[in-house]
Amino acid sequence: MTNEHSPVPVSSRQLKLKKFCIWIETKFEGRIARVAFALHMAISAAVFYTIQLVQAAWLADARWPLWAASGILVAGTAFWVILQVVRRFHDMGRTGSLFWAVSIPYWAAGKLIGMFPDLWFVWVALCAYPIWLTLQLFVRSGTDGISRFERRTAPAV
Amino acid sequence: MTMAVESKMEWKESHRHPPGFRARRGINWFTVGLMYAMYYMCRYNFRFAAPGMREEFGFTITQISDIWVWFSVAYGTGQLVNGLFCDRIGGKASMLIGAIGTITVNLVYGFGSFAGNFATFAGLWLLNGYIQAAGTPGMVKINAAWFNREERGVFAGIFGFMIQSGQVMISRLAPVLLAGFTIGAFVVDPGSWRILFIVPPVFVAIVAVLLYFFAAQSPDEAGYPGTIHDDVDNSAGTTVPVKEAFKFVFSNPLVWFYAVAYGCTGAVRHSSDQLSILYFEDVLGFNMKTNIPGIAVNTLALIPLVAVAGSVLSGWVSDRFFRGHRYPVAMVLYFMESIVIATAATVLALGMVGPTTGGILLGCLFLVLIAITANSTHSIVGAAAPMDIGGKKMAGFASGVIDSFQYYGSALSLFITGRVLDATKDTYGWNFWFIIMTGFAATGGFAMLALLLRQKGKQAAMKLVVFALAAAILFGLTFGTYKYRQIVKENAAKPAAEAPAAAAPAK
Repeated sequence: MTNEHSPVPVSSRQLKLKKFCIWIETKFEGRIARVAFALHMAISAAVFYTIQLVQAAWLADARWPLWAASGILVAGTAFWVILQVVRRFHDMGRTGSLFWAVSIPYWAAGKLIGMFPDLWFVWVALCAYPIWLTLQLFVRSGTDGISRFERRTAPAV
Repeated sequence: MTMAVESKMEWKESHRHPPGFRARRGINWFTVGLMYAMYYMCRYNFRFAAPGMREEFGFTITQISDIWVWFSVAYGTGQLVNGLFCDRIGGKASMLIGAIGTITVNLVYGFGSFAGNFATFAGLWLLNGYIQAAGTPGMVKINAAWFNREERGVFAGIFGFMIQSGQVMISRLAPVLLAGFTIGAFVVDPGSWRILFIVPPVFVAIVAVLLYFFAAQSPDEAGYPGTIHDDVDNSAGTTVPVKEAFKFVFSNPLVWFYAVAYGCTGAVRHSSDQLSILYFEDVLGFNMKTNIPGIAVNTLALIPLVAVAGSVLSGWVSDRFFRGHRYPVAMVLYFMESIVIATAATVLALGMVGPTTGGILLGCLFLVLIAITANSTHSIVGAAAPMDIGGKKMAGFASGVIDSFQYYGSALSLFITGRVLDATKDTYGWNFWFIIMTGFAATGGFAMLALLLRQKGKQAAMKLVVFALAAAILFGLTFGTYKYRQIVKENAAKPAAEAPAAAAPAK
């Protein structure tokens, strides 16, 4: 058993993937102010709504490539929303992992209410904290200077 | 700053990774996890095909169960053998070979079963079991190289999620396929069970291509050398000769403690999974053939959700509060499990579980609680512990040895439970189902207690626990076999005694 670490050859495909990952991680490590965040959310909501309308009005009998295209648009918008939520948390000086605390309880509550419609109080209990966090995303002001969750590659101030 | 905050910050600082690493690891983990979920699609498709096979070939329930038993035995043995080779050829190659194998067997099963008989089906599924056993060692090995010891618990929890997602995917896909469909000139009639062995392999093939292109066996191969520190062997590369892996893992006592405990996890997990449908019918009075009640459907849907939550939580606790040591958390979980199941046995014996509103809720609640505890130990003992023991070079075989015991434990548990329930169901109902599971859960707890004592250097206390455990198992088996034989004899004598009594009034 040794403790040496000799270099291993890295393929060009893996290097491209590495570059892509650095790019995507850098995107998530930024920050966004509350007003810009609200604007992004409003635009995203409008896009989602429009896609739904288009799907209901024109795509009902359409061929699958059109459905696939609308699905890709939905996925892209969802990614954009996630990116903005994470950046907003960074702006507030909090970890972007809180995105899960916002999204999972809503999803679980939706599932539970579908299975057990009488258990509305469980829904309220599950969603109380995510609602509080969501409100903060829109109204709480950002921190001063570079937060520890912001771009880690940036030089310290 | 309080101590807790300080230690949290210290932990975070020590786990900072280079830019892009977390995203790259996410892609790797997603591809590997998805591949494993696809393996499950080509395994759990069988249970949806069983009714159709029974109708077409006239198989009995015992024959259908026996196909599963053969699968389990081959799977357990395959874990041992494939785990060893996995450390030689690498996790990615192991998973790809397994994928090609399971695609082939499933397609043969789907296309070549028109003139099939029981031996053909059992043989093919046995082969599938052996080939599928290349998946877990491969997956565990790849992830051992990508995670530090203190990060593995949570990701072992996500491993539980992947398993459940594979099951969920086939559970959603199977009804759609069985309902029949048409694509251009290709028409599939409703109830064509063979399609269940033809469509899932297509998904496996797609994900296998993704795995080939996106997955890297270690961070070194992805351009992140030295990012992860391997406690076992930190040198470059992820493969070792077969002999070295065999010697290292077989001579490591930790493996055997975890293997015994994991056998107990398998015994409880598979017993509760496989027999819960019959429990719903016999104890709660549900119709599970044609008109499945909502509460049964909801309980079965809730089980994977709580199982995932339990897996992730236990992994996180072992990472954060026990510095990556799994046995203290596993010990608590096993003892909690035994308490839950013992309570269920008591409540059932008191007649509080049955076809009433309260009885049904209690009966379902206990199943959910058992699922939480069983699946939590499943993740940290079955996925995290082998990574800790074998490191990136020998995690494959460590996982193979430990996971094989899960399937042997499951086979032993189902073998005992089936016979005991058949003998005692008329007199004691389903009480012995819970009693047997309690025994296995407690055994797992004591195995982890012995390991805890060993790691703390208390050799005498450890030996005492091991001796007491062995004595208890021996006594339980001897006394249980004696009582079982007595009951079987009494049951056999009953019809003979009842026959003259029934004939008397007629005279």
